Amino acid sequence: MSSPNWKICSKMEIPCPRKNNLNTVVVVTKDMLLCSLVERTLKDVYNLVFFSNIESSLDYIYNSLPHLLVLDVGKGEPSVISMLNQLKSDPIFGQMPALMICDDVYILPAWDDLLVEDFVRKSAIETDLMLRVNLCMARSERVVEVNPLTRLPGNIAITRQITGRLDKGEIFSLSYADLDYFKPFNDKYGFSRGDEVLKMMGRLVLNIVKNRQPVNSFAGHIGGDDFTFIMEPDLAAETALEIMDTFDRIIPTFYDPEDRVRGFIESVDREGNKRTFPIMGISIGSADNVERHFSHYGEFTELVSEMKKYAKDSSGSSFKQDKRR
Amino acid sequence: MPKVSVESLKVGMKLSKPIVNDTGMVLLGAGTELTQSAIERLSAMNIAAVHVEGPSSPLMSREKLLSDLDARFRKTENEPHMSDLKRLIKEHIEELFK
Amino acid sequence: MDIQNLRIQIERIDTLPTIPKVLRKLLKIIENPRASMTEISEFVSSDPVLTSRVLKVVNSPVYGFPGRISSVSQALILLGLNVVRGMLLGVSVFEVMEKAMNGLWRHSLGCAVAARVIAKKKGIKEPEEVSIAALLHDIGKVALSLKFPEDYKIIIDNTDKQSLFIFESEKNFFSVNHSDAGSWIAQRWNFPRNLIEAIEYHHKPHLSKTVPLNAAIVHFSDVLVRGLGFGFAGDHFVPPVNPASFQLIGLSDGDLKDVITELEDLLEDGDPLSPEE
Repeated sequence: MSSPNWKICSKMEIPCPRKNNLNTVVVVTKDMLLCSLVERTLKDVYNLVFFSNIESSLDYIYNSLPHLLVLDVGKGEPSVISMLNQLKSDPIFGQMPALMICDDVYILPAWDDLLVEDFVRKSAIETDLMLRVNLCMARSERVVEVNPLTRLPGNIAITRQITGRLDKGEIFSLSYADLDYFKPFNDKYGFSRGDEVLKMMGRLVLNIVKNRQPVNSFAGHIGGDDFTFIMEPDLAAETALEIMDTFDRIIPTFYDPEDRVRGFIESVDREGNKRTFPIMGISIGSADNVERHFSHYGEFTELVSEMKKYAKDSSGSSFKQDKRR
Repeated sequence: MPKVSVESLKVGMKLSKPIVNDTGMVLLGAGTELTQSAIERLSAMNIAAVHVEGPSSPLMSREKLLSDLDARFRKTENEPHMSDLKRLIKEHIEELFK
Repeated sequence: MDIQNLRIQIERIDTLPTIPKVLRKLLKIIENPRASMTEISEFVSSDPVLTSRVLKVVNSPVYGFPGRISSVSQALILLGLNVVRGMLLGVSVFEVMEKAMNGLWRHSLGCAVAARVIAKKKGIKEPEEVSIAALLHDIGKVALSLKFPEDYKIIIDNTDKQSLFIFESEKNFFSVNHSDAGSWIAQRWNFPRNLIEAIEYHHKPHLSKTVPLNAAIVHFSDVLVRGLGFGFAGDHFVPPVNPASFQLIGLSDGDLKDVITELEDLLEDGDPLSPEE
């Protein structure tokens, strides 16, 4: 097997350089026959990268985000499936489609427990593999409602979360976070760097929220520099503080050294006057329905917005939580 | 509270830090006085060195430490600041044997 | 082999291997579902290869902000526990030259600790940044010995036989040394500029334009740790300190004495007084 655009990856080397414009497909299987069959079928249309087990593929995937993962689960080893589910649980990698190849005798579980986009049985590979791969690619290109920058759920999903929980009678806290002095930063450093900050913010909010409350929490990106998260009421304050603290430590590296040292940037305000703006901070507002009752989600969101506005009035990163009863 | 190689352990020495196994379980607590059988067990377990109470008596002799120091500074001790650095390290070694 | 070719080979390296001792501990930590971010962070920060791996992933364009992150704890927060676990699962082990590599690990760790101590003594705001640079400064040696194991064995033999410094021996053989190799990897892996320079110039700190002080501290940490005989950096001699950089750091005899004492205390568990392994 010495085709020019792939080889079984040794542990240390990156795969051969891409052919122009072809999508990359990572294929994970121990079965050499399956390997050559897949290679024969797909090699002219895709860049293929082969690994013999899922562990060794993770480093490549986490570094390069391929267009599709083709995974041989054989008879359905639980460890392989669990690793796949973990991989797909991250928003960036959740968007990467996974196509499962399974033995004919494999009994498929409920789809909630197996986060793949499609499957093909070994006996059907010759006839169906190419079609299924192409279908996965096409499907993933259709618009999914996530924020394109951060891949976090967008407005529709956010609203659904809030109304869904209220309908179920759930008690939870809702917080809004946005960046102070984001616009002058964008003006001075350009939208590209502004986008970097937003992407970083997305990872930050998502991971801190998930870390503090792995189950039933939620992080979303409303748009621009507005983020939101849902948690158990007791956890909201400490989560907000951790987000602010971590952001304050990371954000200086996005500034040029002179500005970083000075602690401010020089730019123009909306009227066109030269002004100085401090290093960005975060304002977070939060409220819950522990004591209050909201019949419409709008009442809840309005209160949280009010808290956030209140937070913005304080200088530097700050957090305001509704404590009125 | 020096670290001493298991070969140099003597009966009667006391542990200044506990010995724990891979899972964190304490095998011998701090303050344990070492018996011959305890020392044999430690040696069978492939432990290289343990912390014992007592004055600092490092693994190597003062002479060996100083001659090693000389050897590695041989090439550069006449360069700026190097003799000062060597002197400070030498003083530090001497302190350990006071 | 010409330099162009050498560089291509080095840049092809996707992942560096670590030493068996580290791998054993790593597996324990990954397998523990209750391992906290802090635990993982401390462990990763103590190993040059794991640190370089984490920094490589977080600075990958996939996440959207390449070249910004040089702190392990920040990297772990931005990546998240799942990604970190998954990524560390594929770590492999250095099977060749184990003895030399163990010595190199201790040397790197010693330098990281030394840099932190010095940075704190000088009141530098972000001691972790310099400490990471010191931890990673010899990553080029790992790369060269991974790619050219037989050649690197010869190079180390030569330092012995001809009483050379390792960077002299490397240059005789390859025309470049480990600082170059390390800087190539750091650039390829999108490390922040400060980190790249500290690695590239740790033997010639006066050449660093963006971070002269950091480069000076990493350079001096290297000299100091070798002066104390801790770990094994590939040769048996203490390299000369760059006078301009030494002045830049500005440590008095008293300061230096304090640093040496504190360093020995912190490194105590690693048998600071025993010779290179």
